[in-house]
Amino acid sequence: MAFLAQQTVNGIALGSIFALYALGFSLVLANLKVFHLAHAAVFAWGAVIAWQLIAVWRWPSLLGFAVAILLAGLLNVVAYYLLIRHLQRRRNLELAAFISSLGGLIVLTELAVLALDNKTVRLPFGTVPGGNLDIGGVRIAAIQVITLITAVVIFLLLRWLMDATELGREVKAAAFDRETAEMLGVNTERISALVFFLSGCLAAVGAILVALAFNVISADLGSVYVVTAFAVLVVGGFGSIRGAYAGGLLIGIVSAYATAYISSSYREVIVFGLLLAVLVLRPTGLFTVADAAGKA
Amino acid sequence: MANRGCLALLVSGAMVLAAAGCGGSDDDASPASSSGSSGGKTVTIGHLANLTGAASSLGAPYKKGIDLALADIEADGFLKGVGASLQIKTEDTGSTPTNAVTIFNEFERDGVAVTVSDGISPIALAIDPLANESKIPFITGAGSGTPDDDYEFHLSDVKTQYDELAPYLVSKGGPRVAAIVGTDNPAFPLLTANLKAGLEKSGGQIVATETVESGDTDFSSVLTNLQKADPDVVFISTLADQAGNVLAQMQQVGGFDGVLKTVQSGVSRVVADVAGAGATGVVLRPAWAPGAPGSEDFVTRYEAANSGDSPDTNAAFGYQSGWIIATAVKKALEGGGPVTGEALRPLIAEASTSAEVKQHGIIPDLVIPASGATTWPGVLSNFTASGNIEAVKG
Repeated sequence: MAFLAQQTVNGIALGSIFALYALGFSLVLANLKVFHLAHAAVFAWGAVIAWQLIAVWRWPSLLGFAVAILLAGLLNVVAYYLLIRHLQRRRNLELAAFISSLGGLIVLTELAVLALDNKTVRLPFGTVPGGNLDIGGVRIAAIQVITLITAVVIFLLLRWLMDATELGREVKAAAFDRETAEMLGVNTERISALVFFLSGCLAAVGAILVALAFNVISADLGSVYVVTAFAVLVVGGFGSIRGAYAGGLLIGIVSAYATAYISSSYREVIVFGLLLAVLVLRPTGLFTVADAAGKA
Repeated sequence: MANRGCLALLVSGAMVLAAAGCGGSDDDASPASSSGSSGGKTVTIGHLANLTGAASSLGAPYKKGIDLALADIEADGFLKGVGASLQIKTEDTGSTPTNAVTIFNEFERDGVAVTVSDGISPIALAIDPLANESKIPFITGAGSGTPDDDYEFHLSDVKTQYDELAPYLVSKGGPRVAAIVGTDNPAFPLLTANLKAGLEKSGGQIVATETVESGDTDFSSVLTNLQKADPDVVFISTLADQAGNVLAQMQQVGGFDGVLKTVQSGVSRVVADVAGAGATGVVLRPAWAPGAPGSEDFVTRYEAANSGDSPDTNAAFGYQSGWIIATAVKKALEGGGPVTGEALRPLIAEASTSAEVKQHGIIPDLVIPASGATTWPGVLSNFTASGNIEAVKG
């Protein structure tokens, strides 16, 4: 039983990171119906900036993380203006923006390769507190606790932001019908920029947690997880915050159980088998978004 | 999760197009440079170096090792008597087989007499058929190669070291060994199979095997599985970065106190750079390590030439390769023949056990047979608290 509980904790911790990553994709999807692939590179840059500030320039960790999160948010806003905004009046926006964003992914990733000299780097030892909790034979490492709490807090904050604030209502209105929202006085461009900013910040939070938990920062950090993010969105439901969070946890737990009870060799077969099963049995995902107004 | 598919596919596609585009215009290129194989006195070594990417932890020390060997060969006047000199042309593969193939083809066009690489098996396996076809010897630090009678020589001994290491693990740690094995490099499962064979002779056994892919970063579930198996020893058969990460996470999650840890012998001090204190005391049996008998002078000069960096087994492979090639070239010229790949091929095996290489080389018991599958007994070593790999004393 302790083994099952331990693997469940492992799965939830891993799934929390998947969820944070997918939440960024989901916000943009909900707002513009665009799969913003360059989000993967913004994710990597979040960790690269944190590394530059903390490991190279010796900034205090918390300050370095905060600045990295803000800069990743701004980078994503720049990506929006360069890659997406000018395509909005174009027919086939989704495809054009996807291809444009793919180009952005490649450029930003290659820039990260140059910044890191094609090396894998790490945050300094001791950036995350050591030790772990032992609850009934289940060990929860400090970084797992931090990851779980961060994911829950961000999920709740996003829900509050979208459900209980004027800003959230404007985001939903723009997602539902951009032109009508504009006629009603919503500044949709500002809303999109804000959504990209939030999405970029979320990417950096996820990337910093990856850097702390898995001890790795590389130019392709975001690309490593991008297919998993696809799976999370398919399972959870495109454009749904609840879906992205639940999908991330589910994929994380399935991944851990596959390793625990079948074999680590079959882990991806099982995870992506789940994706295919959801596509066949429930194409809208586990958390169906009844209509566009329910998104975000 | 290790899905880099999208980006890798695009980049690979671009590289294939680039390679195809370049190939067409070079049909009339000169087959050999004036400093190349036949007739020339300057013999060029083509170095497929993994200076960036996943195997950079192998490539950097190997380059420093072979550069030092070439400097020593020049300073010693080793080839002066036969009126020859060595030069090396180094190209970075980025640790990818596709780049390595492109670079090898360039080397062939440039007329290099012999090629070397620090070597990871996927690159070695990609280059082997090209080396055979072009009859240019390829000396790699990798552990896997194609069958006998070819132009490939791999320096990593994937078998003999485990005959020696297994009894040590059983006596110092215990009989129950759990393994974490990388699956996208054929050398890693092979090493594990050979450890298993060694353990069975020593009263030990592998009680759990967990596989990981090179892109995997989260090992929490794998480590929980290992804890369930209650091992005395954990064997990690992956590249250095990943081995370091596994060790770091073992320390992070706890529960492995008192378990002896060991890694495959091709790793570098990057393991300790990644794992920090988690690497201290980790055991391995590389071909060579600082502290091995007769190595003080090499260590001192290597450190002096490289800003205090300590050499490792990859540096030793580079150094040894340099002296083996120099000796083979010398023998070819003394025999009155040209310094071609075909001429060098049998001489490389012969040179590995020659008096010259025994005198100047750093791994005295390294033997390259005609088959190319090198053997060496290795040096029982561990990671010190400062992160260096050093021979275990006593």
